Amino acid sequence: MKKYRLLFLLVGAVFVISACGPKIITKKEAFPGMYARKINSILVVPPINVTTAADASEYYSATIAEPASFTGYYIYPIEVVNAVFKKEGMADSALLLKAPPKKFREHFGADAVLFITITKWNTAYFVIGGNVQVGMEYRLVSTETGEVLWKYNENLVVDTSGGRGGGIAGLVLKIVETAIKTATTDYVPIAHRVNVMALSTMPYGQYNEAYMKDQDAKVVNEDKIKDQPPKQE
Amino acid sequence: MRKLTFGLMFLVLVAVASGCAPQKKAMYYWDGYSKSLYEYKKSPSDETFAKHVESLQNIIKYSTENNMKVPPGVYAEMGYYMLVAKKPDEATKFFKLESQNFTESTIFMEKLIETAKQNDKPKPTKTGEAQ
Repeated sequence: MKKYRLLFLLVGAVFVISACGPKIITKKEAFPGMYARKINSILVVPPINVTTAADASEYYSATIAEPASFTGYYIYPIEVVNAVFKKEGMADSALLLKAPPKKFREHFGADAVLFITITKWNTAYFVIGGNVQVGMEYRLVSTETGEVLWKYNENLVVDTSGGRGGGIAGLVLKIVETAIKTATTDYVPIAHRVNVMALSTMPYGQYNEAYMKDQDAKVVNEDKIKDQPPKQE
Repeated sequence: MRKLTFGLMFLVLVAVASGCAPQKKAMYYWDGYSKSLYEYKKSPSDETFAKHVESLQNIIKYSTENNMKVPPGVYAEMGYYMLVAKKPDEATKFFKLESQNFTESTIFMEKLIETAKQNDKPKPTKTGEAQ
């Protein structure tokens, strides 16, 4: 009997969790334009970095090629594209945001441009704990019509708090452990995971087996496609 | 008996878990690309650069040997490094490969091939590119 009660509680808990969670919608509901346009190629431009970490853009660029390729679109060679923009004096792409999207079609042949804003790239310490945070905003813009085809805001916080221990000695140990863990936690695998999480909501392109078969995939968190409060736009 | 039950439960769990995982073939092989590129960016040196080029070569080798498409941008990135190393013929070869592998890249690759050609000629004077 006791066992049943536990099961019952568990089922109840699952219901409560799912009811309270964010609203999850399908890819088609979230990004109808993407299915209508049928794009084949995506130009990922250098990221816009609004954090205080000066090296975030450079490091971040190393994490996007791989997960982006699995979406099934042709992804222009990111390192080469970055070098070209750097030569043109457009390494930080706030300038690129102002360029008419058609230009990217002319120069590269791209069907869409992916703008990425790095919103979080920091470590935080509090009294007895710490964490590493990475956050991104993604916007995919059609070079034909200028419309936003896909967008997503995603972030990940990795807890780097040290192990628990009793007494003053334990506390000191914990603080030291936290400091070490936080300082040595690499941003790159975290950024990689943020990319994978966000890109999994993008309708697949022609090189992916699921191309035009994923309309009903219920994977889009409605809260994460809402526009953030405007900053400079 | 208890141990046995546990073992059985574990087996069932494994079976369920593996059953849920998609069994399809991987789309692309990327070797240690992200890692080697990051290491190179973090501490640029001949050594870290060579490691990254090795990743690119491994990707190309493994993909062609296993009848997989070389991932987008890999040939082009090799070509770009050849361009920087002042090997325009090698660069052109790789840009052409990218273009064949993904026709979407053709416009961009033709521009890069053009740049490679210009690098091939002795430079008269250094002039800024007029837009």
